[in-house]
Amino acid sequence: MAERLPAFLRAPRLTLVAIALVTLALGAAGRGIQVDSAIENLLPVDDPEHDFYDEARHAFGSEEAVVVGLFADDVFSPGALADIDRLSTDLARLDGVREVLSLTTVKGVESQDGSVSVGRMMRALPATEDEARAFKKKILDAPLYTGSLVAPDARATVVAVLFEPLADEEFLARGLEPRIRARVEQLAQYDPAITGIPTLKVRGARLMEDDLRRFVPLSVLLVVLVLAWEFRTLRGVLLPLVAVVIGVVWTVGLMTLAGSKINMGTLILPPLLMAIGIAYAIHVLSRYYIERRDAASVTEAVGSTVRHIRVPLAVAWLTTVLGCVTLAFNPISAIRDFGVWSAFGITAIFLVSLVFIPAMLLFLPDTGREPPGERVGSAFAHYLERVGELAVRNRRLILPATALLCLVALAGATQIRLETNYLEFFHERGRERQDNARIAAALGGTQPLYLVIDGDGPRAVRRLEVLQAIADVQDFAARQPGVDTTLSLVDYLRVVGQALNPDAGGALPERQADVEQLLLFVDPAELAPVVTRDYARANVIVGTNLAGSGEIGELIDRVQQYANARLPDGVSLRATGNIVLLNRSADALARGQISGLWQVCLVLLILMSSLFLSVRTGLLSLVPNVVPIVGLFGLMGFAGIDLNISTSMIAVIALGIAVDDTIHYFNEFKLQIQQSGDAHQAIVGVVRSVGRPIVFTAIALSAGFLILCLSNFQPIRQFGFLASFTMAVALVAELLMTPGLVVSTTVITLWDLLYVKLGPRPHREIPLFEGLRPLQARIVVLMGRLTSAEPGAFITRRGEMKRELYVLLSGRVGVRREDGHVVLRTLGRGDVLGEMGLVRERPRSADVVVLEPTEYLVLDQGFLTRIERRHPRIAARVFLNLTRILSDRLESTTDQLVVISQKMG
Amino acid sequence: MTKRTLTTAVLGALTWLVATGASSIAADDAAALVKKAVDALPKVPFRAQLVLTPAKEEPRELALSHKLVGGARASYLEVTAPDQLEGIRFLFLEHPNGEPEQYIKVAAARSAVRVKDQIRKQPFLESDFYVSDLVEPPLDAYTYKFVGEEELLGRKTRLVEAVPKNSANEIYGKTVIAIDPQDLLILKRSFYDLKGKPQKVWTIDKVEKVDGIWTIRDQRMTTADQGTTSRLETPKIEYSVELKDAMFTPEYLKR
Repeated sequence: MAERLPAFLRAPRLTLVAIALVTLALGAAGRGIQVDSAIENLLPVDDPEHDFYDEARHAFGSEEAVVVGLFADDVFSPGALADIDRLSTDLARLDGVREVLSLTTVKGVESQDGSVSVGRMMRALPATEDEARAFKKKILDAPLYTGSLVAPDARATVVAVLFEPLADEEFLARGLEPRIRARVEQLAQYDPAITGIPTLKVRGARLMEDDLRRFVPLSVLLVVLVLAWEFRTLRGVLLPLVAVVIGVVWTVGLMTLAGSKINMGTLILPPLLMAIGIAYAIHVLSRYYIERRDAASVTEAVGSTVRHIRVPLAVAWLTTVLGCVTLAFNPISAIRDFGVWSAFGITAIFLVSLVFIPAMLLFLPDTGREPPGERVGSAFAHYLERVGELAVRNRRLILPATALLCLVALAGATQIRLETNYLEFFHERGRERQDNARIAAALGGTQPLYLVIDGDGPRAVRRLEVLQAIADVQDFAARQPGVDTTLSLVDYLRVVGQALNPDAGGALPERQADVEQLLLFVDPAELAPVVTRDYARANVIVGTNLAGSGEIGELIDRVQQYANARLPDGVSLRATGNIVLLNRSADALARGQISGLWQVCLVLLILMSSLFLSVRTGLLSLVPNVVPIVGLFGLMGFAGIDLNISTSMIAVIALGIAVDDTIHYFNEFKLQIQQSGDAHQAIVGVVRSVGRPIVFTAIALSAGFLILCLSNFQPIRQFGFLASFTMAVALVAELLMTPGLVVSTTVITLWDLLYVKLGPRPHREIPLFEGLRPLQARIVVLMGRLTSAEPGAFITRRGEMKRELYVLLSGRVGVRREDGHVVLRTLGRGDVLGEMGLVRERPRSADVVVLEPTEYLVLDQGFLTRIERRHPRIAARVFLNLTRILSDRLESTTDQLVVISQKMG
Repeated sequence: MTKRTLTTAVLGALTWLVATGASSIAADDAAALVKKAVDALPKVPFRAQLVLTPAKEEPRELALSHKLVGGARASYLEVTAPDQLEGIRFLFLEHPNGEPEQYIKVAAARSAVRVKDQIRKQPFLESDFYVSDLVEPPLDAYTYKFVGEEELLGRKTRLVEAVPKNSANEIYGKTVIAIDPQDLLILKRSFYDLKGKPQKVWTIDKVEKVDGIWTIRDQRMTTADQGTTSRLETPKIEYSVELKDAMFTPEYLKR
């Protein structure tokens, strides 16, 4: 039977060598995979707001700094100041550090000896307590620093480390953050804390690496356990295991070659691919063991396996990949990366499962032994059969109960919040959040955002009226809940004004000339964070303790509204910053979620409808898969789990994966009903053959996702838990709902019954279908009306005016003369009758009576119209066949007339 | 620590506005040539009108008075236009053996401001000249060597590279000075940052003798990375005028 094998299996050794070579090459490449924990990955790409943020960062500099918090009873003690100075000096020496801002390095304007100095606030390190106290007073009196550089009670201060423009890779490669951390940790007496976006990036990367180190062995262990339980043979464990590992290696290798990295989206890829891969492998191997029962040889069993499994597996692959491809168009780059690489990975695993496992089965010696778990009479198989019967028997209870549960879940779904909080990605008790919280508690404002004020041209924002409006907007922002600090050009002017003229009380100048002259005292480089060099744009830096995208959105709305009313004509305000964009990403998540789900549902509907030639079947097949998604949203709503970067991916992934089992179920149902023709019996057969792999793949997927609950990141943990829950619900829905749905619809059974009734070669047995492929023949049948009759019934009576044609599919009928007793002709399967009535409106010339139980197809005028419109090619063939039939009949009639005339003559 | 620089952009400025004396030098020693050029600066008091035109800004008009006071080169500058900047006064004192002093007085300030540290690196009246470019640092703070020759304004100049002995607090990493050894005129200065990257270039467009003293009439400072150029013209200059010493004190700025 080797000739029946697909080409890639005819030389299994060659195929295996090719797979090994590709795996080795991609494995070598994959060793260089890097991690990328940049916040930018969580932001929408191709978003004008993102461009504006880049523009603002270019104009005002990046807010990304490592912030070191130092805590003491008095950070102004001579010893503490000396330590801070040494720390600042050491950090400033690091290659890549642009500037270090600390108590000992900050610059300012100060009055001294009747004159004013501009420069470093600390001219010499205080050696005595008195000098230290004087310096403390000087700093605490400076409004720019209290609350941002040092706590008002002097018990905490920060050292901010700013960097040269470095790519993330270079930043990591130089080891700047660990070196800063190592130096800072020498100051243990100050109980230091470290935060800031660069720190979170580096820590995020480390934690991702830690996650990967944890996920991969656990996933392998899980795969081994599930396979051992399912197959209980070494081969049953190793073949699928190696297949999924190959798929993962290919994916990671290609990611590396393409310059892609592991980020917050792709972090879940290895466990996900392993879980999906094991599902594919189980289906292939299970089918092999089923085929091996009756096959004469391994080759025959492998050939049958590939033939039977390729279509459902390909459709399952297609549906899962469709979900992933939908994510590939998501506006958020991490999700987009996940979409692209998961689609590739699943494709790789699909190909490997379909090629590698059969090739290995051909290559390895035949054990001839069926794994215990696959034996027909096993207790598990028996239990599943009972579940199937129960589901069919109680379908009228199960379906309404499910509908009710869905309504409850939908009520919960309305409670879902859209939230992306990068800080909350880290563990609540993790050092990242603890350090950030300590610094925020002491000094506040660890989350910066920019309020960019756009003037109507160069020098616009140094106009007095604009400066006064900026001051008002800044004051308004400062009064908002959650805002700790604000800084703008106005502050610099006030500080310089206060230093030059203490009597002014830090008020804004009243004359434009004073503004111009005060600005001469401020270094334009120092002003860079708050105003562009041409004074066309100003920036109010707002430090908030808000991190959630929702509350940030509300703050921005309030400030924006106030600014719109307060700023002069031609001057406008626009907020930006990482946390602002994260707010935008929440919107993008919602949009992506809705559009993604719609797209996947629509594509699945089209796919399933095409597969089963019925929209109704397509809709029904979606039901057991949509139910888990509704359940997922319900759980998220009731449990208060936000829709974030990770949780937003679950629905489309789960839908794509869960529908796989439905496809296997429906496909097997089709095969079973071809054999039995009885729906109830077919259900038992389905559960017996694919029930076990469906259960085990669901367990593997659920357990695979549960591994993600061990992640260092909250969204990944939530993803793991929710995806696992969704898979479990999908399994229950598959086992309890699908049987009821399948037997409740005649569309599916019609299709499959037709297969039985038409047989595998209807085009050869039924003249009307001659020249049509089996699929086209079935389309013709589906567009007609299938009916049956018992002996003695009439299909048509003499004198009736029916414009119908009948195709006999089974049984036997007789054509009777006028007296009603003499049978002129007996017709059987494949015969066509009433063809004249279809094409012209004349009374029927004879009775057609059923002699044996008969099933026949009725084709009427509506059929002619429908098939001509929807399937013109099929229609043309049917009309041609009809003409042939009429011609044959005419010829036969003519022959009979000739015979009669000869007899008479 | 005061920033030191060998610039004399406006230095040509203040003192150098008037350029240099007429004695020639045959020495091959670079340091000696620079010293000769500095020594050749006029010793007589003078008063001048300056017009500084920064890139994309309206011209600033200044009145300059210069005199040797107690061995120090003292320069008093007052902005006379435009209105927004009118009344701003500057005092620069270059002591022969000490740190230079710079003061500014603005209308909003009750007193004169001693310019220290950071502000010396800031643009002078929003131009490409730094405030520190207006004073001459001690010559012995640098090492000098000849690095080539260049023809400027029809004169053959020698290029002297001046590198600070201690670069820790410098604005510039090195300066290449083009000196006409014949008339001891400094005709160009190229400033490099601490990493050796070109930062600014000071050039002379027009130099002529007034009352027998070489006087720079038109000069420019170009900032390399910004691509901006500021122009400083000397439309009017008067040598050997009478100026009171009291004019060159911080107290005088407050008047």
